[in-house]
Amino acid sequence: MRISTGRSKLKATLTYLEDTLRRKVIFFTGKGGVGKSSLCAATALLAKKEGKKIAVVSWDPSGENRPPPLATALGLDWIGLETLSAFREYALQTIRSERLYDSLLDNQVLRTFVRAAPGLADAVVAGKIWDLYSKKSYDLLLVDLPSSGHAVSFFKSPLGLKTIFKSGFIARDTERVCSLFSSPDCRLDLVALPEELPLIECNELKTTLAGLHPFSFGYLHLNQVFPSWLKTEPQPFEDLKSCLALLNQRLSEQEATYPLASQVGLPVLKVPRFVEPSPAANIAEVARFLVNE
Amino acid sequence: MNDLFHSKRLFLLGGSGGVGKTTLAASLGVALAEAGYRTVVLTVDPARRLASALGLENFQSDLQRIPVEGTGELWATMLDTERYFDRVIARFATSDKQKEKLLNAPLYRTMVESLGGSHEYAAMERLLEFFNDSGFDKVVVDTPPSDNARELFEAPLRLAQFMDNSVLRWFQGGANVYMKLFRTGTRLAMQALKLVFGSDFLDQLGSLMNDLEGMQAGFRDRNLEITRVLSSEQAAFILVTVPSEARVDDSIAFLETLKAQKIPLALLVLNRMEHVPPSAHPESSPPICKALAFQKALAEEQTHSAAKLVAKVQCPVKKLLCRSGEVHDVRILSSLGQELSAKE
Repeated sequence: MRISTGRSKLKATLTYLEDTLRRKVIFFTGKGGVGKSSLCAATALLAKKEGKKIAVVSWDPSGENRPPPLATALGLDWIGLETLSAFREYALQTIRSERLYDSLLDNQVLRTFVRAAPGLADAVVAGKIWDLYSKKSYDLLLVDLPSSGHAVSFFKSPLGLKTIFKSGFIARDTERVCSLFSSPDCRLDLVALPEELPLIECNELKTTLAGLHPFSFGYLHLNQVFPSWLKTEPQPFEDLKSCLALLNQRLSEQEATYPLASQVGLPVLKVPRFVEPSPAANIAEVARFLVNE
Repeated sequence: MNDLFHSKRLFLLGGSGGVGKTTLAASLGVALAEAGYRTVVLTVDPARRLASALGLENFQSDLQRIPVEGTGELWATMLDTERYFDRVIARFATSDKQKEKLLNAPLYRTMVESLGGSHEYAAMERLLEFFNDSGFDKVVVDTPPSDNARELFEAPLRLAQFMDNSVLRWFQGGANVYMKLFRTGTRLAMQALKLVFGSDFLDQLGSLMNDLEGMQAGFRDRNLEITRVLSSEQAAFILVTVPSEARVDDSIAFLETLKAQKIPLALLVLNRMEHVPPSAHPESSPPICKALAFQKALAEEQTHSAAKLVAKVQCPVKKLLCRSGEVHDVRILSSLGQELSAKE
């Protein structure tokens, strides 16, 4: 059933899982090392269990395309985007002959140009995501974006390009990409750690992103939150005292940042810090946590 | 203080985002200044972390002096890529006219904003300026948060390549670009590009490339100099990481890039190491046992990935234990800096 009312109303009624299942593309963004890939993988796991055909999409701007170990370990479909091949696919829509492309455009000069031209890499990658979305080969694409600085330039690229590319394929795709970003099919989630400065930055990131496109913002994943049962009685034993006091203090510091998380203005998911023996087992726990949110 | 910090002059701290690089760069700066050196810390993290760690409210990109104990001096600056890149252009420009034309071109603006590498390039440029400034004894650089080292070292090179002759030859000539290409036999390629990019863009790019003429040599020379300085005896590259399953592959990739770039690793810092907890007492309550088990799991999770990394390096390894609290003032930076720079 498709509900066409405003987002705010939906938020109040839909669970994380329900909201996730009605989307086609979910972007995860946040600073490096906050666990974007983990949340992306956990959400993928969740949707897969519900019978959705999902793919984790990642993109490393430096051109290195290692499959994320998590996606492999969890048996998730993974699509790695690479600037040059995305550009090739792009150009082939126009040129239509692989031989012609390879003989004319597959050279060092063009490779350098595609990598270095302003915003072009961002644009072809965004175009590729639109392409995957419109082909509907997957029910849901979970996009693990590069860290926040780059994510801003990624979402900014079609806007900058609008002024530069007035005609041609890129101009056309720019429009499409912008419409995807503002579509209710697409959701943008933020990931942060419960630390003061990163949360302030996360708040700024949201403001910046909101100024770029009328996104459907989803959730703020506050990752690696210490469980509240870590709060223990002061210890009489000297050796245990400092260790437990430090844990207690770290927990209190985390709790002190929760108001900052609320200020971001999105529903906050306090994703616990799991200590399972393997990363894949941790993701499974995160997925189990998200089901109940 | 460890000899490394006395003998080297330039310290680059690298690593992926969120490992505490900026804080450690600031701490090292404080420790060096307290040891009597005139020190400058350059941060390129667009976030205002260093500023708050150093207790500076309105941190500008200009050089600012930070009061520290002892006879040395501590200066800090934050890199404003856009402004700084303008300066680079101004320096390499062959005439005022060329400079004006470039700085006012809309394509140039977009390029500086979005071109991968301008951040890294500007950082390397500024580093070189400080390195060549004899007014500073020690230069500490907090490198841009690169998910991998390739971006850090290759982006400036890519930019230099972009400015390079072979690319320029394609686009030079502004409106005449198609004529030229017709002659050189790449007319078809250009037509294909025109279809993809549209002719407006190619025209703008053609004229930008034309405006950049004569500046390539400057970029290339600088690039060679940066490579020379980074691999020199005076430079020390410090890799900072927090050992974790999720990050260990990135760190290993980082190490491999350093090797490929012939930049020796001076120190591996394993930051925020979890404490190995003592065992519970027989009288300890179940919640206490549970908390200790949690702490133990946190520590064990790190052991494996830390060992994997340590096996990959020949350089000294510094383990810094997890501390509580955000670093807000120079006093904390000082104690962290002393821990970082102490002899083993």
